[in-house]
Amino acid sequence: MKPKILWNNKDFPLLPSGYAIMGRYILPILGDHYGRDNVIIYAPVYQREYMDRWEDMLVVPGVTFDYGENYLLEHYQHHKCNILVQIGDVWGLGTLPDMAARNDVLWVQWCAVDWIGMPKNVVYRIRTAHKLVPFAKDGEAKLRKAGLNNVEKAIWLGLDTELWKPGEPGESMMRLMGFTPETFNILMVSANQERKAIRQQIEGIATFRKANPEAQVRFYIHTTMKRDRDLFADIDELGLADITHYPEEYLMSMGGVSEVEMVKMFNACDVVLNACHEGFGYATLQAQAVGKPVVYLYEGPSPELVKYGVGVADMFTYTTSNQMCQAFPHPAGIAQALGTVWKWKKEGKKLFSQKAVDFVQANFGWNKIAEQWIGVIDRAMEDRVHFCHDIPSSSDELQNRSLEEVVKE
Amino acid sequence: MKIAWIQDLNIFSTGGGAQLTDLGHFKEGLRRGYDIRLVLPDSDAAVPFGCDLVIASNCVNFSTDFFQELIKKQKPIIWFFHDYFCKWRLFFPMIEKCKNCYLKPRWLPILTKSPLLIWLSPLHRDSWLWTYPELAELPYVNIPSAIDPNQFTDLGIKREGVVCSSGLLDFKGRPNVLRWAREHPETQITFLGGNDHPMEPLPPSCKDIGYYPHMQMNDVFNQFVSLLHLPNTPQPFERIIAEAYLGGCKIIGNHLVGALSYDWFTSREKVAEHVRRAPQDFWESIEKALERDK
Repeated sequence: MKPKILWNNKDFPLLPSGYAIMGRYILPILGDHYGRDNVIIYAPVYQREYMDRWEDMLVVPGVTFDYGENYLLEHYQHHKCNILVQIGDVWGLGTLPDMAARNDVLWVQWCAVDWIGMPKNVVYRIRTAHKLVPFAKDGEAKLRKAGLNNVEKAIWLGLDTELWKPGEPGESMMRLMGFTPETFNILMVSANQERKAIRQQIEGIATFRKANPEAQVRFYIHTTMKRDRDLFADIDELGLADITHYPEEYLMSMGGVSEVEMVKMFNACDVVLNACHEGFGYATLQAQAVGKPVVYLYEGPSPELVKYGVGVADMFTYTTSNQMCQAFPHPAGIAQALGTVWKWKKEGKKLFSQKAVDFVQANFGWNKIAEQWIGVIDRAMEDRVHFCHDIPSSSDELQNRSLEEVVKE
Repeated sequence: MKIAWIQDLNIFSTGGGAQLTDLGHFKEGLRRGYDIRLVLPDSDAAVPFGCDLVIASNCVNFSTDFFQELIKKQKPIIWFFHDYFCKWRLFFPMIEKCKNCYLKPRWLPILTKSPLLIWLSPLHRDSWLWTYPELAELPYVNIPSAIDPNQFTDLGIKREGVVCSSGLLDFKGRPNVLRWAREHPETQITFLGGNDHPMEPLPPSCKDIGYYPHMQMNDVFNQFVSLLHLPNTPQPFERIIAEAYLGGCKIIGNHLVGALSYDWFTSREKVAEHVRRAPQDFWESIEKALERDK
């Protein structure tokens, strides 16, 4: 029997968010494998109050902007689904863990683990998942260390490997980013969130600049400039306004730029700066896909994704209100790492790694990722039978025995 | 002798079939002078470790680790089964897959250490052996539910129609009794004791009158000619069969009723004798098993 999958993608697959992109690539492959009628997409964010079809698959709505759990059970039961695959952070889950504990849903979670240790409130939320599939091996190790016995082998997030390749950025892209072939071009692509350690990283740029006045630094930051932090103020205070370029607010509010443009952006830089505690780290992977060095944090999944780059130690931690402890770099470490890459450039080395490109091409194509997911879904369906998720019908023999009347006068 | 009686439910305050039977045996144990402690899931878990014997009755809320610890401490555990060690507990489908039940590796090593296994009927034991054939070699006894036959008698009043208790529950054979009702449209059937699908219309000859307290059941039985009970999974005993029979009802059952699998279920006198002396048989079997293991 082919499973009927409810896939909580968190975003409509056509949107430009990371979650949406994951759905955009993996869902058609799963749809081809299991039948497009057997994949139901739950997209509560930006897709409300109506149903839609996308790529011949049904998209069902939710009415919340968070985890969209309110209609999960109704959609699951109404469409007679056998398995729920939920993507994203687990610390915010509300009702789903209880639904799974009650056997109402067979819940498989593809999750980020972007914290040190394992807060109890997170363990309580995720222990009722039938399977936890971490985004990275680092998360897998942490979940196993916490004693959870529902942890699957990590499945990395994928990339369109046909698109994400080394190439020429083009003059106009270089100009838009404020880059020239002679300057030392630093790229940061990041959501403007505290956990992304943007302040520490741009302080690192300022320190590097002071220590290496001969380097003509250029910095392009692809983000929404005013959100968790007012980055205009940070850049102004740190004296980086003269070297910094950023996208227009309107462009970012409309969802940023296309993936094709993003590939050019990564190809335009000398180094990608992404030294924060990631759940996965798309920017890190994208840098590797085009063979560019990345400055990354040793904590979290980045070390397993990087073949070409300079690691930075985490120097302090911050514990959020959800008891999640996240690592941060020290600006001096960032400056030192940038110094290493700058030294390579000064020495005339080509800032490019074919090994990194090959690594991404070999391991991150969506077909490869979907293949691993098909394995997880098939195993979950076998478990569904083995662990009697549904009340089985009594045997034929019992049915026959039950038909034979015994009368006692 | 200090005895720990392990139960999921408080037998002094809840009145399901298993609890009524446990209560009968428990009282008889006290009468015989045993110091019996009822151990519930929220009781002090150390109590059984200070006892000489453990009787494990319904115990799905106790972990296998707990029982393994008791075995390590050389505490004999007598298993008094009421249902099945199946995920669905009351609904044992007895299919091929059950032979490879995922719970079996957890329980088998514990059960095989027991000096005595107590089932409620020959059918109950046979059904258990479907999943656990390894238990066939272990000492066992089949003891019916403890029932006071004085509470269930034929009052000699006019009777009419058929009564069916719990028959509208899925696991008690709802499809079978509804099929029977359609095949016997002339017979009025009165259902009581729960309905899994209250919105589903019943055949015109049927009515559902809801729950009745156990204390009133003899009066209920005496209103009807027959009791209909056609489960589709093996029922360990079904005390209602014995109670209704003693209450003067003709029994229309099937081969999945544990009570009817006893060879002595042939006359009201014999049934009364066996269910009356069930508590004595229960303790005598335990005493013999302990004597044997000395």
